[in-house]
Amino acid sequence: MIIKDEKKILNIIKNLNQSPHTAVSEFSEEINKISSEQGIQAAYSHLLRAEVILNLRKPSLAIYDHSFHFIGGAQKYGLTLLSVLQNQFDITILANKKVSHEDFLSWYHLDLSKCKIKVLKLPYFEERKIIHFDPACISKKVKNPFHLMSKESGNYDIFVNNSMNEMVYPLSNISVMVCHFPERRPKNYFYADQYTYIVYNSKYTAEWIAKKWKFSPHQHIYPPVDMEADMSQFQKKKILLSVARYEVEGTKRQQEMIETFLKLNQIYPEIVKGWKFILVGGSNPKNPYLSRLKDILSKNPDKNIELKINVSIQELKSLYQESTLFWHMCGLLHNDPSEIEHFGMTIVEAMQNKMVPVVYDGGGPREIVDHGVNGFRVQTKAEFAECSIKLLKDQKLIQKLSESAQKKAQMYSKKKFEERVKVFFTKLLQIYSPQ
Amino acid sequence: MEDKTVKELQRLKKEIYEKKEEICDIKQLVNKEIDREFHTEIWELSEREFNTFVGEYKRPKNKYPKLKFDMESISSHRKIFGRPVLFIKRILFKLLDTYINENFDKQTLFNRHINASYQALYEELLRRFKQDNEKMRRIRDRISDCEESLVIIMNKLIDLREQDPKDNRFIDTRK
Repeated sequence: MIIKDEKKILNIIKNLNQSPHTAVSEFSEEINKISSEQGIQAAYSHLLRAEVILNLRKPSLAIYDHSFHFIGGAQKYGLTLLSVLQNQFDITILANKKVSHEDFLSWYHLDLSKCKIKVLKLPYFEERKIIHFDPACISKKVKNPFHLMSKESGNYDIFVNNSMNEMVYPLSNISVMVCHFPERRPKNYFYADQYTYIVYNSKYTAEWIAKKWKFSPHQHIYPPVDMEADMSQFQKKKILLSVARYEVEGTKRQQEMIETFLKLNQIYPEIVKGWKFILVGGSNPKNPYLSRLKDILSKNPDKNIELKINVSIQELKSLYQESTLFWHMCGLLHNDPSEIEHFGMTIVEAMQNKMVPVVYDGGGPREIVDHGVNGFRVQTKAEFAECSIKLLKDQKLIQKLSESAQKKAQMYSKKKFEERVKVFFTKLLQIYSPQ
Repeated sequence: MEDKTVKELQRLKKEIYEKKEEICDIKQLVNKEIDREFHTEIWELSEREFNTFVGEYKRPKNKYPKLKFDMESISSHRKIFGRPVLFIKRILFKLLDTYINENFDKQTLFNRHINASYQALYEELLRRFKQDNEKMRRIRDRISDCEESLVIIMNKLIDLREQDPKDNRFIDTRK
C-alpha cells in the first residue's frame, strides 16, 4: 500500500467533502506532485482511493490466477473467497484463458454471477501454444510475460494474486498474495515481498515461506472444506478409504498402502476379514503409476481392494459417508518439502464424515490430526501397520476417535473460512478507507 | 459532494489513466527499479533444487563462447576531450589486436578446459550420487518392509498368547 505522506493526502481527500473549491485544486496539485515523485501509478492509485473514501463507488477487487481454466484446489480457494466478498466489492476475475461463470458453477458449485470475468491472453504462452503456465520456465533472458497482469493490477483498489505466481508485480493500493506453498526461491522477477499481505493456508506453508522467502507471511486462512453430511442417515461399513490423485511419480503413496493391506491380509487375515480397501483419485488416461497399481491388483484378486478413477462428486460423497477409516500416506519416504502434503483437504473431508484418519506425520496433516485423539500420525510403514491394526481390532476406539475427528474438522468448514475471510477483508477496508 | 468536484475528480482520473495506459514499462510506472539480484544459498537447497541449480550453470561442451575484445566497450567520461582520446585508444587497440586476441584465445582455451572438467566431474558425481541413492533407497525400503512385517507378526503373537495363555509356543523367550 502507498503510505508515503498518507496523513496529508487523507486530509486533502476529506477536505474535498467539506471545502471542495480550495481542496480540488490542492488535490490536483498533490496528485501531480505524487506523479512526478512516485510515478504515475501512485497518482492513479490515490485517485482510486479518494473515490472509495468519498463513497463515490464500491471498492474494486481483482483476483488473478493463471490456472483459472483448470479445476484445482487452489482455484477453489480463491473463488470461494470471492463468493463471500461479491456483495461488498466490485469484483473482476482475471484469467489468461477463456473460462465462464458456468464452468465455476459446475466445477465448484459456486455462483459468481455478480463478478465480471476478464480474459487477458499472454502473448508469450499463446505463441508457444502452452496451456499449463509454469512461471519456473521463465528465465532472466525472457522478458517477463506476466507484466501484462502487473499493469492490470494497478486498475483496482485491491489485487489478489491467487496463483502463487511471484512474477506479477502488484500495483494496486492493497495487494494480497494467497500462497499455498512457496514453490520457487527468490530468483529473477521475484516480487512476492512487494505484496501488502501474504495469506497462507497452513502453518507448514508459513514455515516454508519463512525458510525460502526469508520473511513471515501475515494472515492464516485455512482452505474451505465442505464435505459435511448428516451422518445420522448413513450406516458406516467396513471400508478403508484413500482419496488422492494418482500422481505419475507416485508421491501419494498408493502402492505402499496397497502393500500394507496385502501384508495384513497375508499375516493377519482375521482382523482384515470383512474390510475393503477403496482407493479413489483422479488420473490422466496414460498413467504408468496407475498401470503398476492395476498390475499389483491383478496379481492379488479376491483381496478386497478396489481402484476408482475420476469418480463423480456424488459417488465420492457417498464413499465418504459409508467408509470408516481413512489412509493418507503422502510424504512417506520423501525428503523434498514440496512432496509432502501442504494442507490435506481430503483428510478434513474424511474427518467431516466421521472417519478416523491414519496419516503421514508431516506437513499440513500434522496440524489437522492430533495423534491418538482424533486419528493417528505415523512416520514409518511399521507405525502405519501398527496403528491400523490397533484400529481394525478395536471398534470402540474407532467410535471414540471418529467423534472427536468430526469435532476437529469443524475448524476447517466453509462457514469458518467465510468468517475468516470477512474479518480479514473488513480490516483491509477499514485501513484503506478510514471513516 | 458537489457535482463539480465529482466531475473534476473524474476528469483528473481520466487524464491520469490515459497517461498511465501509454506506459508499458512497470519501472516507469512506479518510478523505480523493480528487479533485484538474489543470492542462492546452496546448502539450503533440496536435492531437486540443487540439480536444477547446477543444470542452469552447465553449458554444452563445445559451445563455450570464444572470448573477443569488444571495441565498443571502450568509452570515456570526458565530454570534450573524450572523443580524441577514444579515437587514439581505438587505433592503438586495432594495432595491438593480434597480441590482445592471442591472450584472449589462451583464456578461451583455458575456460573450455575448465568447463569440460567441471562437467565431467559433475556428471561423474551425479552418476555416483544416483547410484548410491538408489542403493540406499532399496536398503531403506527393505528395512521398512521388514519392520512392518515384524510389527504385524508381533501383534498377531500377542493376540494368540492372549487367546491361550497356557500354550507356551507363544511365550516371549527373549526375556
